[in-house]
Amino acid sequence: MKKKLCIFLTLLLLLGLLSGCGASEDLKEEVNIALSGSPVTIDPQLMSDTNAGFVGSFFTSCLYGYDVNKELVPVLAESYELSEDCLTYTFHLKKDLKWSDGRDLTAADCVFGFQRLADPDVGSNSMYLITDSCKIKNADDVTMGKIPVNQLGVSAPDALTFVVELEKPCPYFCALITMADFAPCNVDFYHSAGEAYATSEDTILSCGPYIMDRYEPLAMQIHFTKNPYYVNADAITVPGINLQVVANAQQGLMSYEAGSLDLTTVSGELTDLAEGDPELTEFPNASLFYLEMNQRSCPALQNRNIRMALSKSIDRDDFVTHVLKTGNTSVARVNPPGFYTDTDGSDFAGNADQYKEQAGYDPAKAKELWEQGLQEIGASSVTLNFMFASGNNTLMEALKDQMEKNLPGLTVELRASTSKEIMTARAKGGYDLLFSGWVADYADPTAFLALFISTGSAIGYNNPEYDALYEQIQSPEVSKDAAGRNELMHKAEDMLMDDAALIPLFSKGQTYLIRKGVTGFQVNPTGIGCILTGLRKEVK
Amino acid sequence: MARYIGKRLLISVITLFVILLVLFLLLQFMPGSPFNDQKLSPEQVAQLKEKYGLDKPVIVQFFQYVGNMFRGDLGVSYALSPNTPITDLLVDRFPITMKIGFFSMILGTLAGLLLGFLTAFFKNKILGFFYHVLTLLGIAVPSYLFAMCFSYFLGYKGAIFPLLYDFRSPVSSSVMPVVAMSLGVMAVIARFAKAEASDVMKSDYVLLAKCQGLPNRTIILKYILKNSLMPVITVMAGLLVGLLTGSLVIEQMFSIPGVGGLLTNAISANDYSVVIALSFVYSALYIVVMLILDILYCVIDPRVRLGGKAE
Repeated sequence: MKKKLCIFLTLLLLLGLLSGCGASEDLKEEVNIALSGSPVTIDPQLMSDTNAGFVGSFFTSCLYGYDVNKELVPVLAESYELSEDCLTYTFHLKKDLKWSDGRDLTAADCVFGFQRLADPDVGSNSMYLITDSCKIKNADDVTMGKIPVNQLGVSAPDALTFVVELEKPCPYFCALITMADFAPCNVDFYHSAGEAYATSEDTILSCGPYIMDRYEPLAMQIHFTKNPYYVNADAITVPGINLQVVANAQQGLMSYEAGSLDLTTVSGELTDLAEGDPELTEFPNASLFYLEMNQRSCPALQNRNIRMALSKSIDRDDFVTHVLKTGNTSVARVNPPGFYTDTDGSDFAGNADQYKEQAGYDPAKAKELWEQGLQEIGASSVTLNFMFASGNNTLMEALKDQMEKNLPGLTVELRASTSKEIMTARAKGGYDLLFSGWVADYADPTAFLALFISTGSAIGYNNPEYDALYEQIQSPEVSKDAAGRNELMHKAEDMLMDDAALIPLFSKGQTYLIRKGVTGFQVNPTGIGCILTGLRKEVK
Repeated sequence: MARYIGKRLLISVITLFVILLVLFLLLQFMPGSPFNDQKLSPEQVAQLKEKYGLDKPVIVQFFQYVGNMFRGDLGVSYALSPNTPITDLLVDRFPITMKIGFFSMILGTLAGLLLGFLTAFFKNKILGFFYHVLTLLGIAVPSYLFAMCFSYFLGYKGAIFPLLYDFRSPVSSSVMPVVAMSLGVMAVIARFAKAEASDVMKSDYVLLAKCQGLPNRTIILKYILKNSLMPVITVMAGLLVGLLTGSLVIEQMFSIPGVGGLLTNAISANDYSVVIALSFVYSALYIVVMLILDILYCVIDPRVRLGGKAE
């Protein structure tokens, strides 16, 4: 009797172990997407990393967003009016907007969302969006805690009208507010959740295409079901989404091959394995990876010929093809291609050879400029301290080899550093060359051009003439004239390239493996977040 | 006895305090801050530091932290998951790590005992060969290599088990990590079990029992197994702590939402509070288990409490 009981219990245990191996019909209709890391938060106003931005696309909506063709379209807004001085936006919300629990979504929720972004007690890492990217009235003082948040330049005259006052014109404001940080937030729900707000699926409301029904902080798996109250609910046909954090890329690729994942990103050495796969899809990203040259404290880099020689000594195409591989595009200009449309409808940065003279690979010309530069500074050799984030050693060694090979007398000393050390060096200027990357927050060339103003993030460059031109681009007069503004932005880019203000290298795209039968997946023009209205899954 | 336990407790508390102080100082003296976003202005970084109290002198921060810790508050995460209490992060993760660690321990122990005792009882060449191969592999090969093999053959080629941990099928997605982690435990236990059983089998009291004509079953169950298990249990305690604190690589590989990955993520994000809290919890766990073991030794072996002069 005892033996039989033991056998029965063992079988029961084995059955339990093997249970759940097969997916049910409901699960087959869901789309399983790999995420490269856990989102830092699901609080829309605190989102500042790309994983959080991606997750935010599933459960948040903003006044404006992107359609499947990557065109900027109103989502929660019906329309907007801009004042004569280009400083006041009046948004008219769509009627009958609802949160995922059925309560009304009103302009007051938009006001509270913007106020939370500015609130120093909330402590958002994205507050620069309203103080630097665009300047909302009183945002500086509010974020510094000098005046209360209710003095921020946002208001709701009625339930369907939301007004934003700016201190400076911001022609790309509607593109900027597509970011989840500008999503509305319901004040009553927020206060009822208290400190637990956005820490679980029960303490967050959705106004996006899906409702989050499983989440814990730093989750490895996040699950969504369709939101029936979503403003564009008819366009959503996939009933559920499972986001699976894949900490080990190789495991993710095998999981995709085994059928557990429908979409997975591919990067690094794994791109070789997926090369030529018909399911491999590349999405451009509004990013620029470049070398900053510290002209403030490195005398050699204050010489234009030396800077240009360094830039022209790098064979970007070779670097991208043989070192970086799939998913990246070589860039020899300030703006990466594919994220902003010019006045004539073409890609603003579509001409890859526009700055061939200033940055195109030409070892002979590079050597000539180098020797000229050395003569001008009265030196026979130069040693440059090249700082970069650890993990990029192979890439940086390839760059060092190219520069040293083409420029006799140049010694590049590589310095792999932690992000902490880089931040400290940025503040104190303790580097000559610095490998940097920038991902645009909004689809406008100023996202990159702003880096090089004297108060910008690329701290090694300072040119009052460029600062004045940038001011002009941001002026009310120019803001009203799209064609004139585009022209000035081209002029600003010309100025940076002529001055060899930076060494542009490449733009990092996103490479996905997308299973046959899953269609319509699209990423935002900036590469942060995705567009879900076209997503479909064919179930066999 | 009470004096001995009191002395050990005091040493444990002092050790934990020193660990906490060293951790705190090490992280404080490193350059930079958890707010490493290039897009933040120095004023905004200062604002965030003030919000989290990181602008105060180190010593004030330390005693504030210790004070909060006594109230069960390990602080909040600054960078990994801003404002989330660390206790919440641990509460979400420890059950999964413990579940996987516990089952690995059970599986590894049962398999190890079976392998060790069988090899000791039946001096069979084939069994001996398997014993040597399995224990050698279990000890020499890291668990992540087993995990990689299982992933390839059972997850990818065979499609029997999920390659990633899935809350929708928690049992089947735990099989590969559990088995991979249990093999090391099995090897250690098997070697101890075999060595102890062989020693006991040669002892005078087993010989006497045999001479008295007791049946083999009684000798094995009552004398050999019982007496060889005691030293094995002490080995298990150390192994259990290792498994409960999580295997970092295994958790990363199968994307298991346990504590293993939390520490490395916190280190790379400069999230001081999470690093300190986790390191402290790890240290405390080891110290508590070792303390319990010391006390158990003291109970089992009276020579220990007489001042460790056992011969």
